[in-house]
Amino acid sequence: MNSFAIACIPHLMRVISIYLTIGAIFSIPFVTFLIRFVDPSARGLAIGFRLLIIPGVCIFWPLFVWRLIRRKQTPTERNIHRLRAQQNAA
Amino acid sequence: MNPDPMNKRDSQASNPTEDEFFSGYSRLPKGIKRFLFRFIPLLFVGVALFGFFVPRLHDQFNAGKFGGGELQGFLVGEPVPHLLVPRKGKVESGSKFSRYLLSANNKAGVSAKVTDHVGKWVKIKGLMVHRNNLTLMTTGKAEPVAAPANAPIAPEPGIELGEFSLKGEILDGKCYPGVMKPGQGKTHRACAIRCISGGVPAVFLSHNDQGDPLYFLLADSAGKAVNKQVLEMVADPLEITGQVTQYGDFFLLKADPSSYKLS
Amino acid sequence: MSVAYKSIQWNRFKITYDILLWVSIALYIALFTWSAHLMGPDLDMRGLQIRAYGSAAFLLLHVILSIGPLCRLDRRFLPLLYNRRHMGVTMFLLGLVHVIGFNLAKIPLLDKIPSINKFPLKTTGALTWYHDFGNLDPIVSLFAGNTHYESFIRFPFESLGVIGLAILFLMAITSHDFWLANLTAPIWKGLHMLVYVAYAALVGHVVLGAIQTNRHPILTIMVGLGLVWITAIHLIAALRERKGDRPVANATPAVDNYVEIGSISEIPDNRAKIVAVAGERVAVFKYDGKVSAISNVCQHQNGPLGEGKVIDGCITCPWHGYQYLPETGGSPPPFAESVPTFNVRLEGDRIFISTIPNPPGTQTPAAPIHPGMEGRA
Repeated sequence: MNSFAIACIPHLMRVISIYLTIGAIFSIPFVTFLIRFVDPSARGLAIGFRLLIIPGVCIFWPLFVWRLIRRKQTPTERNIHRLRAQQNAA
Repeated sequence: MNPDPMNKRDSQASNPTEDEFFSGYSRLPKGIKRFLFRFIPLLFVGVALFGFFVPRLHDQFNAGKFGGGELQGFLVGEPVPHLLVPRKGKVESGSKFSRYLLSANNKAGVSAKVTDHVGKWVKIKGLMVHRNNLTLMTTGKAEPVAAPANAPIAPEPGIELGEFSLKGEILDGKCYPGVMKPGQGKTHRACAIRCISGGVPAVFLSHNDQGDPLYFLLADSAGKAVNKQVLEMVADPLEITGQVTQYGDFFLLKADPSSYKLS
Repeated sequence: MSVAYKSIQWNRFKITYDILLWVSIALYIALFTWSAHLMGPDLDMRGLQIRAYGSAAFLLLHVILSIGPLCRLDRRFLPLLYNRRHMGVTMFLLGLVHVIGFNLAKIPLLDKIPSINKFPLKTTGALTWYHDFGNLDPIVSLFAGNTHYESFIRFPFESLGVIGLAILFLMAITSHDFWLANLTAPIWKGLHMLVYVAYAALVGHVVLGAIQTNRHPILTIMVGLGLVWITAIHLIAALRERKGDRPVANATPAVDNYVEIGSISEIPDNRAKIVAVAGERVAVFKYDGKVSAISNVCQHQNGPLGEGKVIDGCITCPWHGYQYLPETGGSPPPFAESVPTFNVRLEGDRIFISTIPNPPGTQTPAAPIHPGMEGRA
């Protein structure tokens, strides 16, 4: 039995569960009201939608914290046509 | 032309030769519909065939069974706790005892409530698991009883059979005869490690030339249990060279675990 | 103003799709159990249920991975792609049941229903069955039970299963359109392309796990054939795709930033020709006696707009029916998606398009086809 693995895995599990717990705590204010600051399409009651995205928020919460701090909204994808169109317009 | 007036309601092509296009929110175009009506039943036939035949390919069904039971016998502690139960009727040849391995109900060896009575006659209630001639009883405690009047006085000494090199794998004495599917091999490795680490007897499974399974209880050269030393080698293909002692229909294989070789 | 999110935008087709999907899975599990019972009426089914759910997930993954290339080879498969994400989430759930089991009476909220115990729908997962009830935490046992990463034959197949399930989990939790919008389609697609890593890990999980202890030749052959099938249809679809992907910009030199892309007659009505211009594919549509060009990349899931059709005056994506007006590249209100457009010029029956894209939403007049233009050499 690998004693090194047995010693390490609980620590790793703790780190992961701390990360997920922070995400879970953040997800409650996020899905109830903070979400409309990052994505205007999140409107109305839409309880099903709000519950459905909670697991994802638990994982991707740093992204939304960052967007909230920077006051950024849903981005538009970057592809070569969009970039060239932008360069040309500028 | 299709005279069905219903078709007029379709906003899209109703003739399969026309340029059909699927979008989830409008009606399925005729040609695509016909295609799906043929293709989806095919998928279902596939599902049915796989559902019926995949379990047939599973070759690890064992006849291992659970069953409640009660045994009275002589409790032995070395190399692992086991119970010697006097055989009923005439015992012409072989041992006067049947031997039963013991473990707790979970992935652990028997508790002090059992081992405190080593060397005494006891009554044990529990669940019996058996496969071929390997039988183990899971139990929580043992109750001392008086030795039966006509019982053999003491367990007979084993017969030394000499040194053998055997190929096989280490498994735990509980899951292998039990309901695990499989209760051996790589997929079961972690479970067997937990069992053996918890004190369930380690058993070496080998086969004779006819392919019949042979079970060996493992012990080190001093005859002590090897549970803690073999964990890293559980379920791996091994070759063990050691002294084999026969106790009735039961074999003990004595070898230093550091001499086990991957084969 | 965009369209507000909902949990699922149900429609009749999606409901039918999901019913068929779940019925087929229930059928598989029921047949598996029944067939196993026929082999041994008093078999303990707990260990076998792990195989039932695991094999169901693995088979479903083959179906999921086949849909993409099959749609490339025959458009009539597109309805299967439309709701593929429900298939993916379902597959993740099957994998999860394989690992942690399922007990209807222990699900939060459902456990409050008093008569829930009358429905004994439960199964044991591999984590409980093989790793629990011992002297270690089951999760620790899962990862520490086998650490022979240096060996092929002894390789811990459990870790490969964990990698597969972790990827499927990431895909399942980001399956809502909210994630497409917030991660943007290219990143979302990158994340969901990891399904191929998951497939590789799960083939390893099956080969080094189940097949190694259950050495039935047919089982091995089936897994091998599955791998060959998935690889082959992907290669065939990719080769086909490459044929139609020669950049025209290199073939004919651009004159004042316009490039000739072909003739009017080669485009069917309400359909498009796809050409590579300005580093990406452009969809050139012919409809209502006009020609328009927009970027081929749908903003929703980067679907191929040029394989779509003009319906009710809108270019409609073949994947999920997202629509764009040909002359602005914008979705009709209340939708908010928009893609770049390209100026179009006709000379005789030849079509020329600008090599410089217009920003999404720019009013770009369509080039009218005058009588007699079409069919002229």
